[in-house]
Amino acid sequence: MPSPEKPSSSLFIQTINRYVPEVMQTMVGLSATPGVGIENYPQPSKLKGVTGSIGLSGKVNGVVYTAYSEGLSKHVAEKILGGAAGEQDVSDVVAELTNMITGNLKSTLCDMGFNCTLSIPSVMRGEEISVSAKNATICVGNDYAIEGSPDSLRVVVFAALDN
Amino acid sequence: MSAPKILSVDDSRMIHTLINKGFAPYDVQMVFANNGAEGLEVAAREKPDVILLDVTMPVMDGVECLGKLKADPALKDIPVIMLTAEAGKENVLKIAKMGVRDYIVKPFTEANVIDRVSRLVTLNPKSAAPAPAPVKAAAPAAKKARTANDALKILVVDEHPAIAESIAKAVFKRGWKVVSCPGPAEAQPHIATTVAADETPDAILVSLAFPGKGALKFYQSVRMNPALKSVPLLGLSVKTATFDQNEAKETGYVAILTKPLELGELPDRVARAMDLDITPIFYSSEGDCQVVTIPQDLSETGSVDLTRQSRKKIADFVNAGFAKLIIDLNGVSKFEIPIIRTVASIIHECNTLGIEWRVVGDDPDLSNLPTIISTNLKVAALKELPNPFPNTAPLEVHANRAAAAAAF
Repeated sequence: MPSPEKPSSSLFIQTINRYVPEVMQTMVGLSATPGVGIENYPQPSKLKGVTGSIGLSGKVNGVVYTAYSEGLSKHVAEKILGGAAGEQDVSDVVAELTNMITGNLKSTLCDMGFNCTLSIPSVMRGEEISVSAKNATICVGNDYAIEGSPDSLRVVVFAALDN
Repeated sequence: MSAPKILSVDDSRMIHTLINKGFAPYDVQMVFANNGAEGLEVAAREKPDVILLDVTMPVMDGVECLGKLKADPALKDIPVIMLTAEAGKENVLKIAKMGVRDYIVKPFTEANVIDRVSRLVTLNPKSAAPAPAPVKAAAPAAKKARTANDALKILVVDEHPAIAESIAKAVFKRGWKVVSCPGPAEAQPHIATTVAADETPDAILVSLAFPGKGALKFYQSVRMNPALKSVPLLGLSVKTATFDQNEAKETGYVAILTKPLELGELPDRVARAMDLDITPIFYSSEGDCQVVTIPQDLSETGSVDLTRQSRKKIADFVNAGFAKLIIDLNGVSKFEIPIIRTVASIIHECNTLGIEWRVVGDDPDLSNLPTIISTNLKVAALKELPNPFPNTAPLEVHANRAAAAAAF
């Protein structure tokens, strides 16, 4: 049986460029406009604000990060929940949105023969969250301009593919 | 009847909040659990009518929970809808094999969840919930099935007036009324007026070309209104816009009509979307005979639906004591596939149920009907049909219904 074609960095960017706007539009009702995308995202890198992360393990090993500023995360959570959102609510919303983006990325990878499982999402807060992934061959990231917000949503993926 | 109980099993409070908000206009009992293990406990205690089950959860994930639900004789028959962001082929196949009833891909809309749940349980608007006594005391318990002869109202939401005009012309002969709005912004207040006046449209046809996913947002806003939850929405789209069409189908549009519109098919496509009984258009009574009139312009959709509905119709004749059917083919001069399918099926059904039948027509070729049918049954579209004729001997054809009735 021929080995499956390996997902490229540009495929990772195309995939998150498809699902980040879809998740933001469907769940939050806000448009998310992708930036140009970076195929060699530096690592380690610094993220700040409220950052959701989910691990991938299997034929793809890696982590997906979604980083919101405090203001943007609160804006998004309040828009979804339809009222004031406390810190716990904000974390819950960031975790679930990260899960939706990562779940759809996982589906794309699985359909290409790169099966993997997802970890439970976790949410971190801080001004200098350093992120990296050892042995990652895919290091991509992109910023998404969110309608009605001065801040962008940053999505970063570090991944290593099984041979 | 008590309000349906819906159990949502998800580790996200956001999902619980959205689901709770979505079902707020309906008379339902909501119960929640934060992971699979808790979900099993709540399911055993509450015996819900439907379970909405997330996949990725701590303690026990949705797949394990589903397996345990299906292994428990007391819980295995509760329909489960999986909510998952992981819609890869392998994952979908895995959960399908485990007996999941349906699945919803995240991100999802509230309207989408309501739509799927309403396929499994009856959702009544809260305002109508108490209903201890029927509002209309004389109303029958079951709602009368609508027929294609009813005065139906179609709302067309399309930016091009010519589209609404051609749809109006196409459905005019059915006596249906078309109202058009150029876009969702204009359609919303119009619909609000119809709801207030209890004059809601029977079907809504929406252009899928509105910018910013306008047709999908419009669908969601329509479904959020309990008074419109069963009104079918059909999409209008150019043939090549397959992405829009697939997205619309996933959202809940029941059918897509491609432009340029096939106006001959259109009334039947809309009738099918509304699940209408179309037999009153074709069947009538004359004395102790029933008559079915087949027109030359019978559409493909109309033929398939008339064939299917004729089985029940003819069985109803037998139950009601009728034993004679006149098949009126006056005006039929060309035996196209829709006509052959319908005529062959009706004759076969009559033969099976012991109803006598006679054919009326003015085309001299009609006596060759057995040959025409047996030749065409080799066509792929008809090869499943039984041949109602034992041989190809010429058929006796009557000039009019009176002559046919006298020949029984």
